[in-house]
Amino acid sequence: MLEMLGNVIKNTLATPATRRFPAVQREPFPGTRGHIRMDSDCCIFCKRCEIHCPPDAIVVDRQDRTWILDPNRCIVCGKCVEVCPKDCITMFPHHRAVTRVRIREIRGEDDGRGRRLEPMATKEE
Amino acid sequence: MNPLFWSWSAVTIATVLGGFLLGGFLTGIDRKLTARMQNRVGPPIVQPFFDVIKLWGKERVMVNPMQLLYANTYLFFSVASLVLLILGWDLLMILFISAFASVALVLGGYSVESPYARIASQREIIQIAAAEPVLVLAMVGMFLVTGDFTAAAIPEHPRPLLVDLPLVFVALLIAIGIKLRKSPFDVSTSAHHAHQELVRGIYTEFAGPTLAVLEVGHWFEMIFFLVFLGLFWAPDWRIAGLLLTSTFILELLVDNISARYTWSWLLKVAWVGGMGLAAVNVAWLYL
Amino acid sequence: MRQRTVIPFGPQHPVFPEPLQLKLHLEEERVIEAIPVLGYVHRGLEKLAEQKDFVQNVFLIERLCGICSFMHALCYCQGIESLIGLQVPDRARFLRTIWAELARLHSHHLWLGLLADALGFESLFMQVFRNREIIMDVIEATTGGRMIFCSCLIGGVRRDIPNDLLKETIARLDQAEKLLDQIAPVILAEYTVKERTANLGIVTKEQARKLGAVGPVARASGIAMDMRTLGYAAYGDLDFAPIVEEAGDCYARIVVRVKEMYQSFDLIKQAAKRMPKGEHALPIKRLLPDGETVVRVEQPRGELMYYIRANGSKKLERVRVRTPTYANIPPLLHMLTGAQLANVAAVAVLSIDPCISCVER
Ligand code: SF4
Ligand code: SF4
Repeated sequence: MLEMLGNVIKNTLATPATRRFPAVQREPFPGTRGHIRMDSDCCIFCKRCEIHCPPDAIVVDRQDRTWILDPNRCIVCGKCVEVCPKDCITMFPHHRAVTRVRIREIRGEDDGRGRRLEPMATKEE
Repeated sequence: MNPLFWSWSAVTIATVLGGFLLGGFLTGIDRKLTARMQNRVGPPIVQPFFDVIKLWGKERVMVNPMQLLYANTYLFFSVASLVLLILGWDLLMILFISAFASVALVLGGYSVESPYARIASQREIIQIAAAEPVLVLAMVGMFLVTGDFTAAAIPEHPRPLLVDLPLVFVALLIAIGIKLRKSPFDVSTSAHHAHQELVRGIYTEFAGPTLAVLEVGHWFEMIFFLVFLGLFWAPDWRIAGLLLTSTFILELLVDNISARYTWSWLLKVAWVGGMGLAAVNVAWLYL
Repeated sequence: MRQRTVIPFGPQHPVFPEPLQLKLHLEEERVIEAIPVLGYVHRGLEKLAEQKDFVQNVFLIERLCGICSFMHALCYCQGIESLIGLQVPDRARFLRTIWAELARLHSHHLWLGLLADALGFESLFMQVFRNREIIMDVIEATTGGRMIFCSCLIGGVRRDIPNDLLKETIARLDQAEKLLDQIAPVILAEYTVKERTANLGIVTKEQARKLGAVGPVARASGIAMDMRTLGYAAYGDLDFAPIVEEAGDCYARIVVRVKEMYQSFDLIKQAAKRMPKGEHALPIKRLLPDGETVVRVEQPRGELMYYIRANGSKKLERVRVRTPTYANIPPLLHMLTGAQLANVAAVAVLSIDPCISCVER
């Protein structure tokens, strides 16, 4: 019992090792695989990311010039980041909140910024 | 209606309210201190109240209607024993009533089919068997010192009880460790954190408002035993408070530096250690 | 006849992070018989590994298990490398060793925490997890992930640990080791812990051999079996010896694991000191695996074995995984028979450190 006593006393006097989580958050390390983003301006719709993605999270359509990522499937492995010939996919260290929304990137359409979010359910239609 | 009735009612209401608030805050302090001892931030002090309110707001799901009866009985007798203690009634009867509360809890555990709850109930009986004799011996000791079995007689006694009953006090620390469900004595209910063997022990099949009732009942039980310990320095409530605070911290400390034991070990410690100490003390008073 | 109770221990039980069910037949509180029920988290990963191409498989294989994911990737990559005849660069070998030992460290910490919790020793549990957090931070800083490293690749490793980061890593690990110094004596000498684990769940040397125990379970019974002595990755260049205890009880298994934690710290430091310069990955362009192979590595829980059969195309014909927990289930059943219920969770089940998701894949 006494072995633990010193530890307990030390702990009581020290500042806590935990943090009040949602209020105080730790910054991720620089190389953390948090989430990926694609910059639609440079994508050439070559489908390389789609072919290499292990869980088939990316669907690229050459005709429609769309690039769709299902964040629920994506395991954030970073393979697509490595294989993209144009380096349009970037890895960011922060985690994205869980979402049921698919991220669709369209070139030359949309609101000019080439970016639109759409709910998963409407994708089937 | 005579004035005695009114004063008793007032004391009762004050005890119930005070016991509820104090019990909740003490549990909160318990959790906060435990957290700090483990180098954690810990929940806010009022968290136990939030917990009870949240449980209270949940759907009432019960395995069988008897559960509710037993839970309420447990709460009622826990409150009753505290009120009677404050009113200064007969100690033996108060002990009997508080034992009733424990029995209601055991029955609650037995009333369901879950093997976890059942085995835990068996162990709770062992815990009662371990703690109660020590308490009875303590009361005998108190009787020998004050010549009276009522709690009211103790503050009137010129000397603090601790002077005459030091070993009984030590024995009581063990009994109260059992009653507060602290490691290493917590073998049955897993009330605090010993959830690994029996899921949550007796509490396993209780949910929602029924569990809230048990939770509040435990607060009263805790306060009851602390007040009982306080009797050992009854004439001066400030010193008694100090005594209680240090006892409480001691229990927390022991809780944090030891693992849980098996029930056979518990019996050994409570009977040989606890009863032995108390018996020696009592025998010494006889001589 | 005495009354028998059957306790369904699991599949959902606080002692198990993962769903394993043990049907415990009890007489009073004594276990007469334990019957394991497996299959709650079968996901068909071996079949899926035949559908994906062999490079993508690395990512799949890593997700076989959360705790020892790196070991799976390592084992699989070594298998494929031997099939395509690739010699990984030296730096990659050493980096792999460092990550493998980090994985062992965080796995053993997790186990130690769970053990403390099972013994009803909450404060010790918290201390162990505080310590584990440092190791998780190191892992995140060096690989980019906390649990799934994603750092092993066929032909090497995916990212290098630059030398300054390596120095920082060692500094952090020193800190973790110092904190472990505070905790280890508690676990090894604390009266309550010892009382509850010594002389329980004894597996003798012969029994361990007969029942096919692996890893720390075998080593605690006096069998010096450690796959790291095969010298894969950089283990051949480092100094270490398998840690062996003779008693074969739960306490011996605790001792083995605690000593292995120190050994891991030591191995990481050795590897960092001898870290060779050079590239960390080789390209595998147009190389395709052919033939079949068996690979073995030492996981935190014991010997992990992969059987891979390839046919010269991108897809593999068969990937078979034999995990250490699977091999340790017969010894577990042996330990459980005759045990007290109070000791089931704490002592017996946790002393083999079960990892169900890789058993069932
Ligand atoms: S990070 Fe991996 S899983 Fe996610 S889209 Fe890219 S390749 Fe696919
Ligand atoms: S690999 Fe790059 S360029 Fe090709 S489709 Fe994917 S994002 Fe676009």
